[in-house]
Amino acid sequence: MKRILVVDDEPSTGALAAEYLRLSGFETVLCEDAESALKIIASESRFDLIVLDKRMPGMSGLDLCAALKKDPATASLPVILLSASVSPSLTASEAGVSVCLSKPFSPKDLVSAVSRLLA
Amino acid sequence: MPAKKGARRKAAPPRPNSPALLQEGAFLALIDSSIKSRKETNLIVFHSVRLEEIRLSRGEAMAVQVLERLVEFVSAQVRPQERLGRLGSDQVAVLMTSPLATAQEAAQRIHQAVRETSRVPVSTGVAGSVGLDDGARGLWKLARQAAAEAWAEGARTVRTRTKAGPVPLPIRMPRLPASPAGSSIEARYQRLVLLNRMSLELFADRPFPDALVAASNVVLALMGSPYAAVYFCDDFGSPHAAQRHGDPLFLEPEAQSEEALVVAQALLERRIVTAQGTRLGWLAAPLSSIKGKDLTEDGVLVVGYPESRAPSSEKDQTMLEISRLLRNARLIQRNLQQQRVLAAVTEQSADAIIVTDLASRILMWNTSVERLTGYTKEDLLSRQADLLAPAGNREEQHHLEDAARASGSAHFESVSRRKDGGLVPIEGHCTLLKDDSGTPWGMVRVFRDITKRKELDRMKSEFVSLVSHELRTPLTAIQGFAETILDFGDGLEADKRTHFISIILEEAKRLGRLVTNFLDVSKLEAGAMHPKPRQVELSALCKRLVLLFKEHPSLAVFEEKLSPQASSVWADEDQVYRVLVNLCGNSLKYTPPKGTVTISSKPDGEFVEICVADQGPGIAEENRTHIFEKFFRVADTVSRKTPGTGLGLAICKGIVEAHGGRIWLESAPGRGTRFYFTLPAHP
Repeated sequence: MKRILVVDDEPSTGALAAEYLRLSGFETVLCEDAESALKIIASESRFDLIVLDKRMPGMSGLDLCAALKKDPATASLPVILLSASVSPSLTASEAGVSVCLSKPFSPKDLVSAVSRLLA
Repeated sequence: MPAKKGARRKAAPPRPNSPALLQEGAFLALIDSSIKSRKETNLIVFHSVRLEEIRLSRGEAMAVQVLERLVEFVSAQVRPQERLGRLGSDQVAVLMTSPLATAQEAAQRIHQAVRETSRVPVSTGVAGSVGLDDGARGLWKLARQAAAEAWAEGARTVRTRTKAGPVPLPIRMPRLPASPAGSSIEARYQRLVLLNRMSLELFADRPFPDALVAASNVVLALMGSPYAAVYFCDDFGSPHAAQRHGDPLFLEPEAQSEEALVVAQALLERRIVTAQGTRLGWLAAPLSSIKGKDLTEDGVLVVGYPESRAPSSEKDQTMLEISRLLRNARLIQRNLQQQRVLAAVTEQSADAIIVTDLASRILMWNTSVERLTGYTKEDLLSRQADLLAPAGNREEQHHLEDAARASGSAHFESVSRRKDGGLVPIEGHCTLLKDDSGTPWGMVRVFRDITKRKELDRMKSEFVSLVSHELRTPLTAIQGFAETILDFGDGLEADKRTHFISIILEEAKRLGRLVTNFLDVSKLEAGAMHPKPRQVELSALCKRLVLLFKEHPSLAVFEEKLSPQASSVWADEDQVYRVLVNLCGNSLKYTPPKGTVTISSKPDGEFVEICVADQGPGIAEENRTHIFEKFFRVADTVSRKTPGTGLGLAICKGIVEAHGGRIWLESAPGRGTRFYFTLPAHP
């Protein structure tokens, strides 16, 4: 089963992503901020994909993505970014984000993006 | 002083050629009748200032002598028709029924003579009866006041007063010998000398009206006339007399109307006009100037003669030369005035103004420049204007100047460099300056500090993106979980379904609160809070709060401690409820599990003081000053976990203050927080 890490400081959004992915057949781990995400990645077994919220206190989603891309262990991990802004962000793709979903997003779209990236 | 033979009587016998000296009573009666008969009545009072001292120290006899000497002296100076009188114990006065100026001159003349010959100090005051309504005594009082003023200034000159106030001494000038007529070299030389003299008077560094008086005196000599007047035109072309000089004969009503006619004629016909009145002869020349292709009249020079004069080309020529000088003087004066006004406006301006030459050297600036950039006068003069641009922006400066040169004016938004290296965002205009012939000679930059505006813009766009994010978050959950339930339907465990539905409900409520908060903030901004007050029972509000927060995860307990004397307030119920919800919500966020939030009230004069207290960690000193500001959020783990906009307390403050109350807090780290606010107890 594919393992997905969901990083979101907002409990309801994080729960939504994690629950729907779980119901769709993915193993999900939910954490609340970038620091705990990095810890989990370092200590636990591999993940196949990461879903990040863009706007978080402390290290933002974009910064976390850039950090992951720098580290050779995680550089190839696909990243999905959840953001509140409507227009596609250039900086997102520059930071290495594979897909950008704008809120409010349909969880179906999240699942299809995940499936596409893991295919 | 040698003693005189025998003691003199108080009333000195009148000298042969001088009028009888009247005693006070008779003198005042005479003054009264003069005033009543509507004659122009003037009183000159000579006050022998040391007489009382002399009386005390040297005796009555000596005092009498001193006074009599003064009487003799004054009576020798006055003409037969002027009446002399004693006033008080130490004053000699003269009654004159002549124009005030004449009385002033006589007073001055006599005063100087007395000063020169007598060792006893005298101060002299003149009073005119115009506008007077309390008769001779009133006139005497004014004259004494004037004499006292003269004494205060050292009694070198005479002071004059009327009911309206102090009157300055008239200026008298020595008459110049008339220039000879004719076209002989000598005559022409004489005229040139006088014209030169006039020029010197006009362009001397002194107030223009004084210069004009002196110049008019020269005109009389140049034109061989006893009278001259100068008129200047206002912006609408109407002539106004700036100066009339010479024989008062020409100031009489009939003469004045003739003068007005000849002035109008000269302006209309735009040439020298010779006119003949009933008795007097007139000569008038317009003061004209050429502006581009237009000939404009700036005024008129009028000269009056006691009888008709034949026109003479020589006189006309002289008139033209005089009028040219007057016109130039006038132009210069107006220019100087405009410059003064402009300088004052520029200096006062809150915007920074810099004038540079075409090589961008700084020529002029106002204090606002010094304030905005921190550079001083010494730093700025003659330096290049790009001194004020940060190094990277020098190119931009040059582009700006080129643009201004090309189109006359350019708008810019840029950054200015302060002396201390700091940067200030600015916006302004750069305009090309041209001289009268249209040739550019420099540039003027007007700019202002827009730090505040940029700050405001930043805050606004941050607010918009914040709102966007905050509203989308609960929407995401509502939409998402609804979709989840629909998509997985029966495949979903019952408790999972219930869980998701309760999340939807929670988030919907949260969305509602957010929308309300944002709307409140808009209202706050627009000053449209408008409470609709009525008597509100605090315990009822507390019950509603308990219900609202029943399911709160902290499981905190509400304690109600309302004083019976402070159980209700005169306020808008919904708004007070909002305040309590926000305060309690904050308290609950920070209260430890199963802790207590206490709501209490007590009377405070016309107000009720309400307190919401929690047992949380308290608020640090540095945060307390900002806590009621919009968007301010304390940076701690609790606030990171519970996203918010930092608006709740700002809204509380707005509502409380709209009711006329105050809001504040008391807190210390580790000892909980107490929020206090006051509301009116009654209408």
